[in-house]
Amino acid sequence: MVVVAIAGAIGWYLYSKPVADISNLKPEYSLEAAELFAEFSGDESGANTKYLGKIIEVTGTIQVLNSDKGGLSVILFTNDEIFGINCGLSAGQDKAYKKYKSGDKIILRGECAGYDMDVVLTRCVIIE
Amino acid sequence: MESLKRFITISAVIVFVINSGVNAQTKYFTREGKVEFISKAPLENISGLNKKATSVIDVQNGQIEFSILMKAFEFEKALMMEHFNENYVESSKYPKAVFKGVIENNSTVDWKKDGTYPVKVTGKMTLHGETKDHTAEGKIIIKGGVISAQSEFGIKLTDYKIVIPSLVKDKIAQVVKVTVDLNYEVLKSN
Repeated sequence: MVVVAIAGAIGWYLYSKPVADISNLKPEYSLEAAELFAEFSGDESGANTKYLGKIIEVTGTIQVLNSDKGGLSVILFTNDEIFGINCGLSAGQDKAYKKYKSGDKIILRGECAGYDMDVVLTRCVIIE
Repeated sequence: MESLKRFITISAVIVFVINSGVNAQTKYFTREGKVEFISKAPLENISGLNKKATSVIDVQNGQIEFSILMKAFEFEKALMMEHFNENYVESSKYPKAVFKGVIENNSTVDWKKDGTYPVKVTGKMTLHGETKDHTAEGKIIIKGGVISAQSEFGIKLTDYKIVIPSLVKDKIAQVVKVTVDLNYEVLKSN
Protein backbone atom coordinates (compact mmCIF):
# COMPACT_ATOMS: atom_id res chain seq x y z
CA MET A 1 0.00 0.00 0.00
CA VAL A 2 2.80 2.37 1.03
CA VAL A 3 4.91 1.16 -1.92
CA VAL A 4 2.07 2.00 -4.32
CA ALA A 5 1.73 5.47 -2.80
CA ILE A 6 5.49 6.11 -3.08
CA ALA A 7 5.58 4.79 -6.66
CA GLY A 8 2.64 7.03 -7.46
CA ALA A 9 4.36 10.03 -5.91
CA ILE A 10 7.59 9.38 -7.83
CA GLY A 11 5.62 8.88 -11.03
CA TRP A 12 3.74 12.12 -10.53
CA TYR A 13 6.97 13.97 -9.74
CA LEU A 14 8.68 12.71 -12.89
CA TYR A 15 5.64 13.46 -14.98
CA SER A 16 5.22 17.05 -13.83
CA LYS A 17 8.92 17.92 -13.49
CA PRO A 18 9.54 21.25 -15.21
CA VAL A 19 12.24 21.73 -17.80
CA ALA A 20 15.69 22.03 -16.15
CA ASP A 21 17.20 25.44 -15.46
CA ILE A 22 20.34 25.77 -17.57
CA SER A 23 22.22 27.70 -14.90
CA ASN A 24 22.36 24.37 -13.04
CA LEU A 25 23.72 22.43 -16.01
CA LYS A 26 27.40 22.23 -17.00
CA PRO A 27 28.21 23.25 -20.57
CA GLU A 28 29.69 20.61 -22.83
CA TYR A 29 31.41 23.17 -25.01
CA SER A 30 32.74 26.70 -24.49
CA LEU A 31 33.69 28.77 -27.48
CA GLU A 32 33.61 32.10 -29.30
CA ALA A 33 30.52 33.13 -31.27
CA ALA A 34 32.44 33.43 -34.55
CA GLU A 35 33.96 29.97 -34.12
CA LEU A 36 30.58 28.33 -33.47
CA PHE A 37 29.01 30.04 -36.47
CA ALA A 38 31.92 29.08 -38.72
CA GLU A 39 31.52 25.41 -37.77
CA PHE A 40 27.83 25.42 -38.68
CA SER A 41 28.16 27.44 -41.87
CA GLY A 42 31.09 25.29 -42.97
CA ASP A 43 29.59 21.88 -42.23
CA GLU A 44 26.03 21.95 -40.91
CA SER A 45 25.69 18.19 -40.70
CA GLY A 46 28.96 17.76 -38.82
CA ALA A 47 28.16 20.65 -36.48
CA ASN A 48 24.70 19.20 -35.82
CA THR A 49 26.21 15.89 -34.79
CA LYS A 50 28.57 17.69 -32.47
CA TYR A 51 26.35 20.41 -30.95
CA LEU A 52 22.64 19.68 -31.47
CA GLY A 53 20.85 19.38 -28.15
CA LYS A 54 24.03 20.07 -26.17
CA ILE A 55 24.56 22.81 -23.60
CA ILE A 56 27.00 25.37 -25.01
CA GLU A 57 28.61 28.38 -23.43
CA VAL A 58 29.31 31.09 -26.01
CA THR A 59 31.29 34.33 -25.72
CA GLY A 60 30.71 37.21 -28.09
CA THR A 61 29.86 40.83 -28.76
CA ILE A 62 26.23 41.90 -28.76
CA GLN A 63 24.89 42.86 -32.17
CA VAL A 64 21.35 43.51 -31.02
CA LEU A 65 19.05 42.95 -28.06
CA ASN A 66 15.47 42.03 -28.91
CA SER A 67 12.44 42.10 -26.71
CA ASP A 68 8.90 41.47 -27.85
CA LYS A 69 5.90 39.53 -26.66
CA GLY A 70 7.87 36.42 -27.54
CA GLY A 71 10.51 37.09 -24.94
CA LEU A 72 14.05 38.38 -24.70
CA SER A 73 16.89 37.49 -27.00
CA VAL A 74 20.46 38.49 -27.67
CA ILE A 75 22.14 38.19 -31.06
CA LEU A 76 25.93 37.95 -31.13
CA PHE A 77 28.20 39.11 -33.94
CA THR A 78 29.95 36.53 -36.05
CA ASN A 79 31.98 36.91 -39.23
CA ASP A 80 28.76 36.92 -41.24
CA GLU A 81 27.38 40.32 -42.23
CA ILE A 82 23.80 39.66 -41.22
CA PHE A 83 23.51 36.48 -39.18
CA GLY A 84 24.89 35.50 -35.82
CA ILE A 85 24.29 33.48 -32.68
CA ASN A 86 20.65 33.96 -31.76
CA CYS A 87 20.21 33.35 -28.04
CA GLY A 88 16.64 33.10 -26.72
CA LEU A 89 16.68 33.85 -23.01
CA SER A 90 15.01 31.82 -20.27
CA ALA A 91 12.35 33.41 -18.12
CA GLY A 92 13.87 35.24 -15.17
CA GLN A 93 16.78 36.68 -17.15
CA ASP A 94 15.25 40.14 -17.49
CA LYS A 95 17.22 41.70 -14.62
CA ALA A 96 20.55 40.53 -16.03
CA TYR A 97 19.43 41.41 -19.58
CA LYS A 98 18.83 45.06 -18.65
CA LYS A 99 22.51 45.56 -17.79
CA TYR A 100 23.61 45.04 -21.40
CA LYS A 101 23.59 47.05 -24.62
CA SER A 102 24.77 46.60 -28.21
CA GLY A 103 28.54 46.34 -28.45
CA ASP A 104 28.99 44.82 -24.99
CA LYS A 105 30.86 41.55 -24.51
CA ILE A 106 28.74 38.80 -23.01
CA ILE A 107 28.88 35.12 -22.08
CA LEU A 108 25.70 33.07 -22.44
CA ARG A 109 24.90 29.42 -21.83
CA GLY A 110 22.09 27.66 -23.68
CA GLU A 111 20.96 24.58 -25.55
CA CYS A 112 21.89 24.37 -29.22
CA ALA A 113 18.83 24.05 -31.42
CA GLY A 114 20.69 24.13 -34.73
CA TYR A 115 21.39 26.37 -37.71
CA ASP A 116 18.70 28.34 -39.52
CA MET A 117 19.96 31.71 -40.79
CA ASP A 118 21.47 32.16 -37.30
CA VAL A 119 22.89 29.50 -35.04
CA VAL A 120 20.13 29.27 -32.44
CA LEU A 121 20.54 28.65 -28.72
CA THR A 122 17.45 28.34 -26.53
CA ARG A 123 16.72 28.54 -22.79
CA CYS A 124 19.78 30.77 -22.42
CA VAL A 125 21.09 32.20 -19.19
CA ILE A 126 23.51 35.12 -18.98
CA ILE A 127 26.71 34.01 -17.30
CA GLU A 128 28.67 37.26 -17.44
CA MET B 1 38.64 63.56 -73.44
CA GLU B 2 36.10 65.67 -71.57
CA SER B 3 33.17 64.19 -73.48
CA LEU B 4 34.48 60.65 -72.92
CA LYS B 5 34.67 61.28 -69.18
CA ARG B 6 31.16 62.69 -69.28
CA PHE B 7 29.92 59.69 -71.23
CA ILE B 8 31.41 57.27 -68.72
CA THR B 9 29.96 59.19 -65.77
CA ILE B 10 26.48 59.31 -67.28
CA SER B 11 26.64 55.61 -68.19
CA ALA B 12 27.71 54.77 -64.68
CA VAL B 13 24.82 56.74 -63.21
CA ILE B 14 22.34 55.07 -65.58
CA VAL B 15 23.66 51.61 -64.71
CA PHE B 16 23.46 52.46 -61.01
CA VAL B 17 19.87 53.70 -61.27
CA ILE B 18 18.74 50.66 -63.29
CA ASN B 19 20.49 48.37 -60.83
CA SER B 20 18.81 50.03 -57.87
CA GLY B 21 15.46 49.56 -59.53
CA VAL B 22 16.13 45.89 -60.23
CA ASN B 23 17.29 45.29 -56.67
CA ALA B 24 14.32 47.13 -55.19
CA GLN B 25 13.28 45.50 -51.94
CA THR B 26 10.91 42.63 -52.60
CA LYS B 27 12.16 40.17 -49.98
CA TYR B 28 11.24 40.27 -46.30
CA PHE B 29 12.35 37.94 -43.55
CA THR B 30 12.05 37.07 -39.91
CA ARG B 31 14.20 35.01 -37.54
CA GLU B 32 11.96 35.37 -34.48
CA GLY B 33 8.77 33.87 -35.89
CA LYS B 34 6.34 32.21 -33.49
CA VAL B 35 4.95 28.78 -34.18
CA GLU B 36 2.82 27.05 -31.59
CA PHE B 37 1.19 23.66 -31.70
CA ILE B 38 -1.60 22.40 -29.50
CA SER B 39 -2.67 18.83 -29.06
CA LYS B 40 -6.04 18.44 -27.41
CA ALA B 41 -6.80 14.98 -26.10
CA PRO B 42 -9.11 13.47 -23.46
CA LEU B 43 -6.40 13.07 -20.85
CA GLU B 44 -4.59 16.36 -21.30
CA ASN B 45 -3.76 19.27 -23.56
CA ILE B 46 -0.13 19.64 -24.59
CA SER B 47 1.42 22.64 -26.27
CA GLY B 48 4.86 23.58 -27.54
CA LEU B 49 6.01 27.06 -28.52
CA ASN B 50 8.80 27.90 -30.95
CA LYS B 51 9.97 31.53 -31.05
CA LYS B 52 12.79 31.09 -33.53
CA ALA B 53 11.01 30.23 -36.75
CA THR B 54 12.59 31.82 -39.81
CA SER B 55 10.73 32.84 -42.92
CA VAL B 56 11.30 34.65 -46.19
CA ILE B 57 8.55 36.22 -48.31
CA ASP B 58 9.04 37.55 -51.80
CA VAL B 59 6.20 40.03 -52.26
CA GLN B 60 6.77 40.24 -56.00
CA ASN B 61 5.82 36.63 -56.74
CA GLY B 62 4.22 35.52 -53.47
CA GLN B 63 6.85 32.89 -52.72
CA ILE B 64 6.95 32.08 -49.04
CA GLU B 65 9.23 29.79 -47.11
CA PHE B 66 9.55 29.00 -43.49
CA SER B 67 11.89 26.88 -41.49
CA ILE B 68 11.59 25.67 -37.90
CA LEU B 69 14.30 24.16 -35.73
CA MET B 70 12.49 21.36 -33.88
CA LYS B 71 14.75 21.63 -30.83
CA ALA B 72 13.65 25.22 -30.34
CA PHE B 73 10.15 24.16 -29.23
CA GLU B 74 9.61 25.00 -25.57
CA PHE B 75 7.48 23.01 -23.18
CA GLU B 76 6.30 23.30 -19.62
CA LYS B 77 7.19 19.78 -18.63
CA ALA B 78 10.57 18.08 -19.05
CA LEU B 79 8.97 14.74 -19.87
CA MET B 80 6.92 16.23 -22.70
CA MET B 81 10.02 17.89 -24.16
CA GLU B 82 11.87 14.58 -23.99
CA HIS B 83 9.05 12.59 -25.63
CA PHE B 84 8.57 15.20 -28.33
CA ASN B 85 12.25 15.31 -29.28
CA GLU B 86 13.30 11.72 -28.77
CA ASN B 87 10.18 9.74 -29.70
CA TYR B 88 7.70 11.78 -31.73
CA VAL B 89 9.63 14.07 -34.08
CA GLU B 90 13.10 12.54 -33.55
CA SER B 91 14.68 15.99 -33.71
CA SER B 92 18.28 14.75 -33.64
CA LYS B 93 17.61 12.92 -36.91
CA TYR B 94 15.36 15.58 -38.44
CA PRO B 95 16.38 18.91 -36.90
CA LYS B 96 14.25 21.13 -39.16
CA ALA B 97 10.73 21.34 -40.46
CA VAL B 98 10.52 23.30 -43.70
CA PHE B 99 7.66 24.71 -45.73
CA LYS B 100 8.17 25.98 -49.30
CA GLY B 101 5.21 27.42 -51.11
CA VAL B 102 3.45 30.30 -52.71
CA ILE B 103 0.63 32.68 -51.91
CA GLU B 104 -1.91 31.65 -54.55
CA ASN B 105 -3.75 34.98 -54.54
CA ASN B 106 -0.66 37.19 -54.30
CA SER B 107 -2.07 39.55 -56.91
CA THR B 108 -4.90 40.47 -54.52
CA VAL B 109 -2.47 41.68 -51.86
CA ASP B 110 -1.48 45.33 -52.10
CA TRP B 111 1.86 45.11 -50.31
CA LYS B 112 2.23 48.86 -50.23
CA LYS B 113 -1.12 49.55 -48.59
CA ASP B 114 -2.06 48.98 -44.95
CA GLY B 115 -4.78 46.40 -44.54
CA THR B 116 -5.67 42.81 -43.74
CA TYR B 117 -5.54 40.48 -46.72
CA PRO B 118 -6.86 36.91 -46.58
CA VAL B 119 -4.50 34.54 -48.37
CA LYS B 120 -4.32 30.93 -49.43
CA VAL B 121 -0.90 29.35 -49.34
CA THR B 122 0.00 26.07 -51.02
CA GLY B 123 3.25 24.21 -51.13
CA LYS B 124 5.22 21.38 -49.63
CA MET B 125 5.75 20.73 -45.93
CA THR B 126 8.67 18.61 -44.80
CA LEU B 127 8.41 17.32 -41.24
CA HIS B 128 10.04 14.29 -39.60
CA GLY B 129 11.74 13.55 -42.91
CA GLU B 130 8.42 13.27 -44.80
CA THR B 131 7.34 15.73 -47.51
CA LYS B 132 3.67 16.30 -48.20
CA ASP B 133 1.53 18.78 -50.09
CA HIS B 134 0.19 21.35 -47.68
CA THR B 135 -2.39 24.10 -48.00
CA ALA B 136 -3.38 26.68 -45.43
CA GLU B 137 -5.48 29.80 -45.17
CA GLY B 138 -4.06 32.82 -43.46
CA LYS B 139 -3.86 36.57 -43.27
CA ILE B 140 -1.28 39.08 -44.38
CA ILE B 141 -1.55 42.14 -42.18
CA ILE B 142 0.17 45.33 -43.22
CA LYS B 143 0.21 48.03 -40.57
CA GLY B 144 2.39 51.14 -40.72
CA GLY B 145 4.25 49.47 -43.56
CA VAL B 146 5.16 46.43 -41.39
CA ILE B 147 4.24 43.03 -42.84
CA SER B 148 2.88 40.24 -40.63
CA ALA B 149 1.56 36.82 -41.52
CA GLN B 150 -0.79 34.71 -39.44
CA SER B 151 -2.20 31.30 -40.07
CA GLU B 152 -3.79 28.37 -38.32
CA PHE B 153 -3.87 24.86 -39.71
CA GLY B 154 -3.94 21.21 -38.73
CA ILE B 155 -1.12 18.72 -39.05
CA LYS B 156 -2.16 15.08 -39.21
CA LEU B 157 0.57 13.18 -37.39
CA THR B 158 0.27 10.03 -39.49
CA ASP B 159 0.92 12.08 -42.65
CA TYR B 160 4.43 12.67 -41.38
CA LYS B 161 4.90 9.21 -39.88
CA ILE B 162 4.93 10.64 -36.35
CA VAL B 163 4.14 7.67 -34.16
CA ILE B 164 2.46 7.98 -30.80
CA PRO B 165 2.87 4.83 -28.70
CA SER B 166 -0.44 3.21 -27.78
CA LEU B 167 0.29 3.73 -24.08
CA VAL B 168 -0.10 7.47 -24.44
CA LYS B 169 -2.49 7.46 -27.39
CA ASP B 170 -5.22 9.10 -25.31
CA LYS B 171 -2.85 11.91 -24.43
CA ILE B 172 -2.02 13.11 -27.93
CA ALA B 173 -4.44 14.27 -30.61
CA GLN B 174 -4.20 12.69 -34.07
CA VAL B 175 -4.44 16.12 -35.65
CA VAL B 176 -2.44 18.83 -33.98
CA LYS B 177 -3.42 22.49 -34.33
CA VAL B 178 -0.60 24.78 -35.43
CA THR B 179 -0.65 28.57 -35.12
CA VAL B 180 1.87 30.70 -37.00
CA ASP B 181 2.58 34.36 -36.23
CA LEU B 182 5.39 36.06 -38.14
CA ASN B 183 6.48 39.72 -38.25
CA TYR B 184 8.76 40.54 -41.18
CA GLU B 185 11.51 43.03 -41.83
CA VAL B 186 13.25 43.96 -45.06
CA LEU B 187 15.89 41.45 -46.19
CA LYS B 188 18.84 43.56 -47.23
CA SER B 189 20.44 42.14 -50.35
CA ASN B 190 24.22 41.68 -50.15
